[in-house]
Amino acid sequence: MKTLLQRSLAILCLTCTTLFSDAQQVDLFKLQDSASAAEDKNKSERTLNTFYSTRLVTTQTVEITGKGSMDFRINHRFSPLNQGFYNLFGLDFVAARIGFDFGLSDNLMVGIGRTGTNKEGDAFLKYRVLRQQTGEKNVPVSISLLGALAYRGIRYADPTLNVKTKDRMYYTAQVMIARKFNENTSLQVSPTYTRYNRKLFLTGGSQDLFSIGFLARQKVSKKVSINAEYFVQTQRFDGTYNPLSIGVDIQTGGHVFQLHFTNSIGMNEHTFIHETFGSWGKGDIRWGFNISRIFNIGRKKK
Amino acid sequence: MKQIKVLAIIVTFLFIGQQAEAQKIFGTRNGRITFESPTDGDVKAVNNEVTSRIADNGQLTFSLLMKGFKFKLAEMQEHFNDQYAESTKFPRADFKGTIANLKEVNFSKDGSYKVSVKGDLTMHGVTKNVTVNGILEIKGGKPAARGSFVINLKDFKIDASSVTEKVDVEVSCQYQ
Repeated sequence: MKTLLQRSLAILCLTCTTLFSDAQQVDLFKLQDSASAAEDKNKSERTLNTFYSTRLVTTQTVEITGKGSMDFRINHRFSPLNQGFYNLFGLDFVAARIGFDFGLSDNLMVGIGRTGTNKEGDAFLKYRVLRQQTGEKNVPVSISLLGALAYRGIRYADPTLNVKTKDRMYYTAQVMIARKFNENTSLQVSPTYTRYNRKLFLTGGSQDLFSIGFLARQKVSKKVSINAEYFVQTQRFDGTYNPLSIGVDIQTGGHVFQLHFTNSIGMNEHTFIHETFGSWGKGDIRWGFNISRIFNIGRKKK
Repeated sequence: MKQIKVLAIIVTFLFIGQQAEAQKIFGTRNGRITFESPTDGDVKAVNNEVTSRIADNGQLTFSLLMKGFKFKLAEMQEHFNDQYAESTKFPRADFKGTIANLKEVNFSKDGSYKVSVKGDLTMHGVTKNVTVNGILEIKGGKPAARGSFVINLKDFKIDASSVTEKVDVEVSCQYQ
């Protein structure tokens, strides 16, 4: 027993000596490596760029416009390709939405927009409640919430319709749940509720509509990604289809070009999800593109 | 009794160890490194959370997180991390160098010393030998370092040619 104690003390003694002789000349290079490794172990890292932009094609993503930035967005949807050469495969007619988005804080943005079709104005508020992160604190998904409203400004010729202001309003609430699986692949699920105060020239469906959006992004290079989005509706207006869009994002500095094929013409939530009268099966496919240009309007620091 | 003897030996060794430890090490966790494009003044970022240590044997180290670089424009910062620095893949930049003209520096005497630091800079997964000329100022026994150098982004396999080819880097650390 005694010898064991003696031995262990002797070993301790030796260790001490070696330890301190090391201490005489601390190697800063080794110290830095071990300190960095220890620090990296204890940090949480926020996931960046789940998607390139705040919209995938037409659908909102979990992304928020940077604080102090203004995003000027122009969306175009041409007429269906199956109109033949007479309409240059749809290119003779174009619908557009012009919009401005503003990043108010790291997690809050607002946006306004105007679409020519039906003379609609829209506005939305998007708030990020949770951000995916890895490390000490692990959060598997990002979650953002969207509240949007639209006003249909078109004049109805028939006075007997008796359209009141509230009949022209449309509301959408959406929860966006997204995960960036790796540098290249991101998926999002968007349960959505839409309210039509009044169905004008629409039959079937309901004034309260539920749908789920599925969004996918696959990067093919550092600056190019392929995107797809699809909505499943629980109830549909007569003659409408589920919207499906497939597109490409090209990123160049402060611009994002988004080119795509879609069966919908709508560019705000309620028209795009619930008023898609084109069918992929019948060739009612439209070519469309979005351009996003970001400006810094926040006050300069310092 | 024997245990006490052994303990006495340990204590002696402890003493010797401390006596022999003459090396002085200074460090900081909030050193400042900025970079700026010489061609586009908007491309500018600052990192105020640089860990740095300096020892009177001439060793000098820096370590920082790429995501710690703050830009004026949030979008620019995201592009920097996502497209150029690839900060998720290569989270840290790291420098390990030695003062080449250590003989001219006296850590225990206040004054301003011109130094030339040679060492390895690791960034974006690439390690390269760099030389940084700067000034080491000793005041009240505490050193402060300042220096600047140019990084050619191609050397570190960072393809930012659409933005800038080079960045001017400035380093400023007050050690404790």
